[in-house]
Amino acid sequence: MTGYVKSILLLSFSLALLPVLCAENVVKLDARLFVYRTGDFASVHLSGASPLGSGPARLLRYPAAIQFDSESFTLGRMGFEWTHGDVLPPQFTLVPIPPLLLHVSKPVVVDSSVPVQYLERQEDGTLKVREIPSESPESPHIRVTFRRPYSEYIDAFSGITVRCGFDLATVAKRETLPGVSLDVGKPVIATVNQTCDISCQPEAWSAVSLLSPNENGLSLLLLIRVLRVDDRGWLPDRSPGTNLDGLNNPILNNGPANIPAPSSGSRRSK
Amino acid sequence: MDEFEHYLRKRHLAVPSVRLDRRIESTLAAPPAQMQPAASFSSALARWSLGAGMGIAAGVALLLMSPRKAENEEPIVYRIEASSQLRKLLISPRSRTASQPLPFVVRSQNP
Repeated sequence: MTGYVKSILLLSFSLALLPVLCAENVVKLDARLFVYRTGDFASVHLSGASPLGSGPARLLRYPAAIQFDSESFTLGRMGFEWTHGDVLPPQFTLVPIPPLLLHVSKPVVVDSSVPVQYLERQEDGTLKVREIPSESPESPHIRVTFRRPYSEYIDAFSGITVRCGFDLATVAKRETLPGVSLDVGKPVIATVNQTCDISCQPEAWSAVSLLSPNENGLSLLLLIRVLRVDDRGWLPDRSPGTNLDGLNNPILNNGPANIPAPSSGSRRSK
Repeated sequence: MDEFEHYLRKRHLAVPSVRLDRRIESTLAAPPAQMQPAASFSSALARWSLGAGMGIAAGVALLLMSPRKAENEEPIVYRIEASSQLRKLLISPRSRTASQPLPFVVRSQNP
């Protein structure tokens, strides 16, 4: 009869665990993406950073800090701050990423592409203005893909894994036009792609730094944190309609406040 | 002669026992079915139930760990209009003054 008991106990344990494992199938992702030109600083010192994959990305976890000459970035347990608190140094540009709801195996892509124009010499010797539209895959862009690669089963034991795919394409230089001294030739696009997995503890910020990953000298600093929410995108123990950003550190509220409804397609925010 | 020596002298020495040899012989010669009682139907059922339970649990775990269906893979795309500063960063080639490699200093911290 001990075999019966063991079987019943095992089945009961598996069935009792099912709702727990299936409960967390969506998380809220807060992300801040800062872009800067490394040439604006004489030196960059990272402390508390560890390599992330085989590419240029490095992961920063609490306690960590980056020193950009006289400017500093400090990653705390539940927040981060710059040299003067929430004041972003002028060398940095924030890419406004709205709060995202991240489902398992439902990637979310944040894309900021720009068109670029150039001159091209025609056969008759004249110059013609050409453009690489922003919709073209060859246009300069910053594209970050967020994905939860693992099911709730694994995430329940090892933190919430967020897979970040970085796709950066920038103008590294321009082709020279014979007889034209201006730097207006066809742009040569430098690209970098890296994907890395970040195991996030809920409500704690993690940072990923990409220092000059391509010839353009552009660097990225991505901050992410995940919050557990229910299927409707509401935080636990909160009444419907509660603004999710109410949990955020006030100094971090740079993006839109409302979480967009999770559905496929393309969205545009400004 | 102390008490311990006296105790040892009183102990019987081990001697070969014919009766014990016969008993061991008969035990070893007996067929296995007679040595152990036949496995009862209930215990066999319990073992099979345990195996089935473990199989179900493993199946549930694999189901939870397996990636979702392909139709869920269509990404949600947010197109963010680049600010003028970001546009400049993306389009402008690296400045000539910053052509020197930047001296990065990285102090790694192993978890």
